[in-house]
Order: sequence, then structure tokens, then C-alpha cells
Amino acid sequence: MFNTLQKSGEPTGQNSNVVSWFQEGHRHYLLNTSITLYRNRFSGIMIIRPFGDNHFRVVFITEMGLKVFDMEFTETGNIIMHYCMESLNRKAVMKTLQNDIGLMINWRGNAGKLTELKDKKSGAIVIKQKQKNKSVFYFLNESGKTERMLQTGMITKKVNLLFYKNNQNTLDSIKISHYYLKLNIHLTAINETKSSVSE
Amino acid sequence: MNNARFTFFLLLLVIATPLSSQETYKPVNDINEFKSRLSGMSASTLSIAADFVQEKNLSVLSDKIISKGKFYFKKENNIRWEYTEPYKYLIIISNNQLFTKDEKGQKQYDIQSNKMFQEMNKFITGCINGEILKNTKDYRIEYYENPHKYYVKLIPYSEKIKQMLNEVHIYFNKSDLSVDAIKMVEAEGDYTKIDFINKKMNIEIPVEKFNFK
Repeated sequence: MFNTLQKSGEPTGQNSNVVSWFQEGHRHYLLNTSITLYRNRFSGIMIIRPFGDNHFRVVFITEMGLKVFDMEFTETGNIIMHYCMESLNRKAVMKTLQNDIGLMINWRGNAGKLTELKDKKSGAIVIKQKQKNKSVFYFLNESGKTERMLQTGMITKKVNLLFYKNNQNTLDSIKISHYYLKLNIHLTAINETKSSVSE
Repeated sequence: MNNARFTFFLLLLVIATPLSSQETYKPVNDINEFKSRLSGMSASTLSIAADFVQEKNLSVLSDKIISKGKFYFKKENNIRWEYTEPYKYLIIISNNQLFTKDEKGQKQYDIQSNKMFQEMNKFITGCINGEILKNTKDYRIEYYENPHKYYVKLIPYSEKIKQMLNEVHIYFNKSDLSVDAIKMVEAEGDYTKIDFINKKMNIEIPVEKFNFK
């Protein structure tokens, strides 16, 4: 799938080179969220609260405050659904959202070992994480934070995540797209101290 | 997700969110008098303009999420609900159309196109004109008061609704019976509270406020 990647020869500790954009110690993160599934588009606010480097609570509410879902990604590799609006509570939908959100927050779950790879052309370091029948490739920036994340199946690409930073080097926005599902998620960080919108 | 249902509950939120006082309330002595006064106020209210502050309280967070904006109502059924901070979001209901707009796009629905929208519209206008207080078929309604406010608690009978919305509390200012606040309480105790401030009644509101473009 990636002809230009080769093993770097450097040892890689468990996730030691991949830093989540959602850090413990930050009270919470708010993201303006737009979800497009086929021809339907929904919007709302994603709230992410990190409790540890591998423990997160993620709540999605409408702009007007109505809770849509509330899920917890635990340190022990479990996902607990605390609430899900009935109209959204379909197994396939929730499984996909859990997968995408888990990737976005860099939740390791039950993922396997990491391998450090190097791009032969650019020399950039790429971390590969093997999951059951999937792999995740992390393309990192100079601070070790993910610029791009790609989840693949055995032979095909599945989900692509792009992370954009702002001038302060903090998260600006995230774009999640699927290769074989018409599902796109676009999230933009909300600055609570200053309005992110203008007339 | 079912669009109609999703939008319906968005709108439920528009209508049902005030509260703010920790003052002690006692049951209203004369409910009929309150209803009659509310009905009179509703009849004489041609327009409302107000700022609002929305507070989302989630037990999982140590801080509340605060958003702010402007609310406009003009008789008969024109509503503009506009969030300006910290995100931008707009809902307009006018001429049997429901319009929503955020930073990434907009949507328009014909309220008459399905029953869900009709119910939603009925709920919204019912809250504004007080007709909702006659709906004892869908809600158990309790009336309380203190020297400054009336406090009406609506408890849905439907178990389906209760999974999302356990109670709706509406707080009326006793002096002019305008809505001071709405609080929507979810099953687990999380809630959304909206306080209406800087209220101006019966002022001229340009019709353009309810245009979709």
C-alpha cells in the first residue's frame, strides 16, 4: 500500500512517538462538528474531556444543548455508551462513529505494537500501529503530533484523518473521510474565550 | 438519523430552557388566574426581542458550556433564534418553513410536510402563547410561584420523550408574565438552561429578520 515506506531501524516504544491533540490537563475541548452521511448533514458540538492519556469522555450535543450521544473510551480498552439518542442508536452507525472518534482522540484501545517507518523519499517518520485486521499509519509533525492518520484494512484504505493546526500550534480543525462510505466529518475547534464567528 | 425527529428535538430545546433562581417556590394558589393573565399577556404581545445566555451543564465536565445570542418573536409565528458566541448558528421559523444555518451550510424544511414538524411547530408556538399549558394530554403540569416568578414544570408522559427530556421548567416574570428562563432537564440530570435578558416587548422588528437568505 505504501511503496515508499520502509522500517527505520529505530526501536519504538508503545505509542511513545504519537502525541494526542487532546491532552490530559485541559479541562475540555469543544469542536464545532458537521457530519455528512450520504445526502444528510447534521451539525452540533463535540465535547472531549481527557481524563488521562488513554481515557476520554466524548459527548455530542446539538447547538441548542440537546445531548445526542455520550461515550467513554476507557484505559482498559472498552467503550462505554452512556447515552445515545434513539434515532441514532444503530449498531453500524455507532460502531463507525466510535472507530472514527477513537482514532481522532488517539485512543489506543486494544491496539497492538507500533513500528517506526521512514519515507524513503522525504525521510519523514511514519508510525504504524497494527490492530486486529486493520492498521493505522500516523504521519507526524515536528512535535510528534499527528498531521494525518490513515486506517487501512488488509488490502484497502478505510479512513483518512487530517489534522490542521493554527498559528498558536494548537488544533484548528480535523477532517475525517471514508474511502468506501459516504461519511465525512469536519470538526473545527471552538475558542470559548473569544467568539469564533463574526457577522 | 431521522431528520424530522432530530430537528424536532432541536426545536424542543429552543422552546424549553429557562430557570435561574434558587428561591423557594410554593404551589400556585389560583392557577386559573395565572392562566388567564398569561392568556391576556399573550394576546397583547406582538413581538419580543431579547438576548439569551445558554448554559449547558454536563456532569462529566467541571465547567458549564456557555453560549449566547439573540432571540426574536413576531406574531403570528415568526421566530428567530440566533447563536453568536462562541459559535454561530441560526434557526428561523416563518411561513410554515423551518430554516437552519451554521458555518458550513443551511437547510430548509416545510413544516406542513410531516407530522413531526407540525407537532414541533405546535409545541413552539404553544410555549410562546401559553397554549402548551392546556396540553394535559402529553404533559403533567405543575405550577409554583414565589414573590417574583411563576415556575411551571412540564413532565412528559411519553417514556420515549422522557429518555431525552425528563422535565421542562418554564419561569415567568410575575410583573409582565414574560419568560425569564427555560430549563430542560435530561434523564440523568444534565440540563440546558436558557436565561432571557434585555427583553423588549412590542418593539418594531424588521420582517427581514425572518427571511431565510
